[in-house]
Amino acid sequence: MSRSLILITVDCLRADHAGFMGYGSPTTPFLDRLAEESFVFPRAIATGAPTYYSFPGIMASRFPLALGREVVGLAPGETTLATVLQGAGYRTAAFVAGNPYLSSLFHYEQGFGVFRDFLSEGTPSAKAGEQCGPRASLRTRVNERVARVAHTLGPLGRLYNELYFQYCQRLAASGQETWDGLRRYPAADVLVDQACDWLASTGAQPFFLWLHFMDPHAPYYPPAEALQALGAHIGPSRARYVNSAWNRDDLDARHLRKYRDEIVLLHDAGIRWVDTQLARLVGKLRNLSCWESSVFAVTADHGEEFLDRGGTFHPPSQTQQEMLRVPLLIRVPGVGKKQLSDAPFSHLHLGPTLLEAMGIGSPGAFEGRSYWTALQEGSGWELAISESIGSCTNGMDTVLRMGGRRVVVQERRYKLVLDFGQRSEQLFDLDADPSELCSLPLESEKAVRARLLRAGLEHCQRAARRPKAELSLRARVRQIGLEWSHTKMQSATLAS
Amino acid sequence: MTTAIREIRLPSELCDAVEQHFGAQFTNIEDLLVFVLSELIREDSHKLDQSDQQMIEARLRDLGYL
Repeated sequence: MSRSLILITVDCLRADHAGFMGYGSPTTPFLDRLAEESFVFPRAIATGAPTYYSFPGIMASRFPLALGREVVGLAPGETTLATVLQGAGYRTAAFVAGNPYLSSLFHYEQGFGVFRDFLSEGTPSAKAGEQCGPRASLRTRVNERVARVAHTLGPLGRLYNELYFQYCQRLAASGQETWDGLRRYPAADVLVDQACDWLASTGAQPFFLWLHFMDPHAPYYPPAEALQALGAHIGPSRARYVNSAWNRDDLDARHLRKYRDEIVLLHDAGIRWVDTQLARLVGKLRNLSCWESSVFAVTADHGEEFLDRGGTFHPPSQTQQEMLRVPLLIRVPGVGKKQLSDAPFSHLHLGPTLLEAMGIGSPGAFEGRSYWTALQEGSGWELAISESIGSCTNGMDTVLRMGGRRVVVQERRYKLVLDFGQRSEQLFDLDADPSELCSLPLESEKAVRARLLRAGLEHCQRAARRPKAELSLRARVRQIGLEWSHTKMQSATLAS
Repeated sequence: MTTAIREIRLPSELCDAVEQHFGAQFTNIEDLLVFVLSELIREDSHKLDQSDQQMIEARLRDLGYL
């Protein structure tokens, strides 16, 4: 009988915040138990960050910039895990918690018979935002004018920012805030409810189910139950205040630090809620007698920063381990747990490996290879490459996409970071300096540098040969259409 | 200086549909096609990729490995 596949991806889930990866807080008790009978990768590495640079590696086993840096998302007609499995007769469904970069806008619906991205219904807070209207925009314009003047008067600028922030918080505080009302994405229980309904309809046919959770993604508004499970006592009003403060770009790390612990608690509670819902999903799979014939994989697209380097969130300029290292757990029925090598395992190889674990051949279009056999021996992978455009903080912005590329080449001990925009090169010894605080002198470790530079060069040469020219063309045509729609929407907004 | 022009033939049904769809942004279908084709032949990304490659090659030469 063919094995089914359940792929769970969790946005912003840092590897070091998962219990089965050694975190001290009980964020993942269910996954911790599951890890006892699963392959757990000590160092799985995303092919890029954030989401729009990570997911081509997960879904299509290719590097994010392989179609050219103009392209964000998948190309129309691109081969993905879903298209392969649908072609093999699988029923396929995806439930994506409102991340636009994983929507049909960017062709992630390809290969899925059912695809829910939860973008059309909106969330209560988004709808509330839409109702702010002319009064809010007048307030913004007045603020901008006054702020401009205040900032010419030295310290008065900072004082003004703080007063304006407190004023906005008072306006926003209704005294009746709820977690559900504040949340910008559907919570994990909503996705699992719909996934369970769909599972009940699949019958005996093998299936591929993909769930993408946003619960640990900012702004962080977990359910109260998850906070209680972590022993945290933060109410929705306080969470709104702390999230707003954390989002201020006028505050440096020194001023943000006082909110850090609460923000981490909120983030961790989001992870805990996902874990709780995964336990429910697996319960359903057991009830339907699907569990023992399903491959179950859990990973993240990238991590999140909590002032580790003085920054927040997950910008593409960050290439440290807290951003690129992600949890990866694969449970295959009937195959026992094995201690795995701590060499970096690239997401590029996840799709091919999962397919082989299910007895399905990997398509030639995939750039990665299967390590299924090596997995059962515990080792065999050596090196991982990640890339991003460091300045592209908004994947919808076509100008930002053309910025300087960053390429990261890492093996077990050494990590080379090439920033082509800054024309800089950093080499880190991860044994001596696991936090990547101090790059080695430029003239040191020449043999190591040369080895990693060669890997980087092969990577660049592969892209330059343009093996996916037709896909790139289709993606760029689609992109032009997207830009026009975006321009049309902006014009309509300005006119109204 | 005159630009050499090449004439192409397209199904009129297709042209009508495109003009209806994109009429607000382009005065005629010729302008739309010039825009789309110009965008598609831009080599910005490829040039940047080649520049990245050259930077690595230069570095390997500095290290005596090329």
